[in-house]
Amino acid sequence: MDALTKLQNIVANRHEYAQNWKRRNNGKVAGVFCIYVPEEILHALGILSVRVFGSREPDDVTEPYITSWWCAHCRGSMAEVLKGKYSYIEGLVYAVSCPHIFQVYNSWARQKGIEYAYDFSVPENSCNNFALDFLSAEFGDFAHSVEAWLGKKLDKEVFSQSVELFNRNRQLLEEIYALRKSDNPPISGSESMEVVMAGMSMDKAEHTQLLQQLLAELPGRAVPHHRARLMLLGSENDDVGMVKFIESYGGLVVTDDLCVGSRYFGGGPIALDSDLLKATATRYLNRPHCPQKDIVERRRIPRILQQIQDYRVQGVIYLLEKFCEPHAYDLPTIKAELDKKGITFLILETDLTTPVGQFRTRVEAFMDLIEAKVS
Amino acid sequence: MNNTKYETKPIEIWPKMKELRRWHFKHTWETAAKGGTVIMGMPEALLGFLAGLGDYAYPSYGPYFTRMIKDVSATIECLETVEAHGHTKDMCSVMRVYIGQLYMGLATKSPQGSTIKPKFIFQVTNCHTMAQTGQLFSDYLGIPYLSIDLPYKSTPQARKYVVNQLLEGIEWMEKVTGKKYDDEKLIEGVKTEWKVEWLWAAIQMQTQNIPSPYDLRNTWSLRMPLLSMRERPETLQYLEALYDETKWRVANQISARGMERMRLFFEGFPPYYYIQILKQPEQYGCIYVINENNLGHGLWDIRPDGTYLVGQPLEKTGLPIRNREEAIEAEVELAFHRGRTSTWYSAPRHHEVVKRAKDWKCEAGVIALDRGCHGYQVSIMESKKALQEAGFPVGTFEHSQSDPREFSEAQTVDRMESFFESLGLEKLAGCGPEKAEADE
Ligand code: SF4
Ligand code: SF4
Repeated sequence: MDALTKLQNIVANRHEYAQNWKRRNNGKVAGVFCIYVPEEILHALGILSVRVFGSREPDDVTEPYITSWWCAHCRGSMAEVLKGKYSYIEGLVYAVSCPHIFQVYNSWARQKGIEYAYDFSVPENSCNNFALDFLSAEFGDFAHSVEAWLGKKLDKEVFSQSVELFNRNRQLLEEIYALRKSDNPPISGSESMEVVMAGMSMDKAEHTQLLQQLLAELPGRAVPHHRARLMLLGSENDDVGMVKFIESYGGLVVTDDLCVGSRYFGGGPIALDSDLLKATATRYLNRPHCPQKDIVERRRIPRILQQIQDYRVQGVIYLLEKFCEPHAYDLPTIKAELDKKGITFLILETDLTTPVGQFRTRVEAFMDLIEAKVS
Repeated sequence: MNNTKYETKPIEIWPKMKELRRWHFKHTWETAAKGGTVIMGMPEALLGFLAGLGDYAYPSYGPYFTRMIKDVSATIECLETVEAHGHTKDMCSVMRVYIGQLYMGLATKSPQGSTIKPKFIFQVTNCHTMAQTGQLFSDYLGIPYLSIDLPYKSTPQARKYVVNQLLEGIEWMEKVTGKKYDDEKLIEGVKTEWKVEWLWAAIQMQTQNIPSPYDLRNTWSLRMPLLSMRERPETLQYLEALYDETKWRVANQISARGMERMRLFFEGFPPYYYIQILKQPEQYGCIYVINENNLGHGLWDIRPDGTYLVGQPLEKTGLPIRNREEAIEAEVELAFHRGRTSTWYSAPRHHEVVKRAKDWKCEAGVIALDRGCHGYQVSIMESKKALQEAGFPVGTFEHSQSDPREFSEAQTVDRMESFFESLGLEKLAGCGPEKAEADE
């Protein structure tokens, strides 16, 4: 079986995968919220960390726990929890970002009697001069708390090996993304999203192997003809169906600024310094940020503009998760910047389900607009 | 049900509260006219830190919020302006009202029509929404932004982190304003803010008494000077007088409304454009007596079981305040002892809600489910469940605290009346004033 199919299967069966992993390794699984959780630490302590994703299905179970005006990611995740899909998870870790996720984390811990739950602060003004010391100390406390949970110590050597593995994994994802800069990318946007999602759901060493295999298999592969090269902006968007939908109208997503995308692995490797916690914190502080962590200097915008240039993006789609406030705040500013550069821009407000009829007309018109501009 | 009738008396210090609010409003324009420093931002925590600036005004994100919110059509026009600028309705409605005033040119316009340019934005990150609002104002007005990251947990590294940011912030402010920062004024400001916060907590504790000297309508308004001028000597004098009056009212069994057939909690924010919702229980001879947001101000020692105890007066902490560094350390300590408004995300707090309902001797209560505030809504449904599990009947209604388009007066009043009736209450003849005095 080719690597891409294997990765797609893991995404489709991520709960089964995690349960099998537990059996095979006699290990524990931790659900993580937000991309600021230093998964390297969990890995070094033998834990499988899986990103909590939601289902994109109409939800009829979360109302007693979450108000209906919480984002689809959160409602979908809580629905999965309440339906028992995550019953294999023993630990929860939340790197505090947005209040919506905090609610899921709280409710989960309260309703399902989780063995271990830990939350910690991540600087919001991530460029201030003292953020690094603070985050290093927070990571240190986090490491101690996991040690206390498991009753074992974080071994420096093992930690360093985990960091190397994660660095390698990120590097490979960068290489796969770089292939999408070509005129005829060998992988579509929805497939790339699945590749990243798989990495958030499975053992890192296995994922790394599959990425290597994928890199060997991709040359020579081509995705169907496309009408326009697109970039997706947005939040925790794990909606592969939505990306497929967009691509079915001739758009080819060549890059993104999403949590389940380039924000996850971007930002370079962790330096293998003697103070590995600090080096880890450095990487997490300098990674591509979401609006939550970008409140003074607006470092997101130059990065987005650079990606547009590098990937020769012709149109940008802003996937705005309904009720998501942090991204709603950034929307007009980013739009204004892109307008200045003449980038065609479309906003799609997403929720648990895609309003196909309404979106189809808008996506088609968007493609027409890009084509008219280009010709 | 308690059918005792208690004596009532007008609150003597009330006019002073109004006077302070008027002073605060005028102070912005007077400061600007004199060449003082006008700063924008939501004054959630760390106000003593600003005191070292000497001549300054801090009118949040504009001084007209209260005036606008009383006028529904003006508020709607303001909100529509925000939407016309490309924002969605899902953002905090309070902040949208401020942002609308910014776009309309009102936020920086004096009543006489002149426009001021604030020197910088000062915003603490306790509420992320406010942090992004600071960024937006800073961009729009072209002024620098001093953002202080305030972690939600009080750990040694968190305290050190905030102290370092503030110490660096002093140099930053000196550069931005071109004025020397006065350490003596800082020390005074920190001491004052500490005392003010202590007094407010002590006053709030008195509302545990039966009869309570104040109901939520009273305290909602009485806390107003704390919102934006906690570090000022005028506020301290006001609170000292309020504290004395409170003790006197308690000693003499002076009640807020004359009856307390049932004491009720009100969790969440009320709709600001329909603040009279807070007087509804009076028609039944009941009062709302406590609300988390009111405890957001005050110096608290919150125990793991959810009990709110008044924190230590500064003199008893042993914290020295002899120089800049010590004053900043004390200021940070204070920030970590405030109630929930300075640490919105420190949920879960469902156990606190239950403990509070018990400590304030409530029998039931209302939770306002507010689409307009993201921070406070964290855990609100868990709080509701916890209260119900503990045996408290809970009524809920939906609204958005500053977006009148998301509120139905008729439906809400009806819903709440059904809730009160389900508690076995009936309306009493002659109970319930016609108009709320409480306003924000
Ligand atoms: S940032 Fe937005 S998408 Fe992410 S959890 Fe918060 S509300 Fe949802
Ligand atoms: S605390 Fe709530 S209402 Fe206040 S600014 Fe933050 S989100 Fe808005």
